[in-house]
Amino acid sequence: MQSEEQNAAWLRLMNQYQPALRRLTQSYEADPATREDLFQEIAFAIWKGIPSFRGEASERTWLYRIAHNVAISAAFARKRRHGREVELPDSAQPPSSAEPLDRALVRREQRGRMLAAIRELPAIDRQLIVLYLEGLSYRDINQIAGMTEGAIATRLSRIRDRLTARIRGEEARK
Amino acid sequence: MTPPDELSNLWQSIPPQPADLQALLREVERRASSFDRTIRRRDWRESIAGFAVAVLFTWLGLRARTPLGRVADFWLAAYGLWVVFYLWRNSGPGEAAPDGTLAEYRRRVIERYERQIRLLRQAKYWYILPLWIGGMLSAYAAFAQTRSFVLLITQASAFTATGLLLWWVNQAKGVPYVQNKQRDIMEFFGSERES
Repeated sequence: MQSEEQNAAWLRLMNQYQPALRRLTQSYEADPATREDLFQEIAFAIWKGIPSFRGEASERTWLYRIAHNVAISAAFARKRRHGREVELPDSAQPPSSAEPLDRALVRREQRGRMLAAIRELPAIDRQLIVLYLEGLSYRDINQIAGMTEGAIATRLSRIRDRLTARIRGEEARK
Repeated sequence: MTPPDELSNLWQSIPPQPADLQALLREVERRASSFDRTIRRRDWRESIAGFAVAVLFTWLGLRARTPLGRVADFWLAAYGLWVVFYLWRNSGPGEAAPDGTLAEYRRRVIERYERQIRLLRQAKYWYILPLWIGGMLSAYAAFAQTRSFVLLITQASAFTATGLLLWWVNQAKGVPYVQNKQRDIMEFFGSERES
């Protein structure tokens, strides 16, 4: 594939999936600088993979596979370097101006707890919940994770319960 | 209260952080050229040492005074080429391709570690033993020429000690290190079965 075609395809994909990829990086990295590195690493892996994309899976499936696999490898490499995954509070994001400040702050706090709980999950569970939260069907998740739809459903139900309990538990302690 | 559906709402409320895609594309292209350079350098580094050994011992072999000395030098020259060939044939890709399902990717990553462990475990046959044989031939060739037992024992001991040290580094340090790494990444992926 010519480099210009590759660049054009990459720009189109990134335009379309950038918000989802940004959210994905939040489930792997708490530190904003490391998250930006991861985002660039994923962007690079997608660019590198474009010439060998044969259309055997849908574009979205292919892109999510690369993004998650790269994120897992990067998170593992960092965990080995630092002994554990670095956990920071979700404080860098400003509340959205569309909602009242107190509501926005509560939401930000809940979001921080949810992301922290997701980051504690094993890689397989982390991938499943992120794809589910992105709105993918069990069939689509099956294409990305390579697990049966039944196994995905069982597992997701447990993960959702765990995340909800975590958020509720911490709210109750306050 | 946070009902399960609220998780999706919370997730979708993560503020977007749009990037300048043109700038990111330039960074990606820069990474691509530096990535290619790194791979080329790595491949060359591994090969240059082997070729240097081959050239040096071919030169020594051509200048050897006895047939046995020539055999020993040519053996070591061939050994340099053999190591380059064996590594090229068996080391496989540096990274597992990330375009498969998570299950496939996990399998590729684990296979990569298994290949490394196999290479290290078998190093005594493909790396250490041929080197030791070349060393012994060389030591005996020197003895045949000088009739010096001290030289024979010194050279034979040095090659044997080097072989043992390489074997120990591979088995006692290299293999457990890669095995630990493999175990850690399997744990990090998590089990595909429900616990």
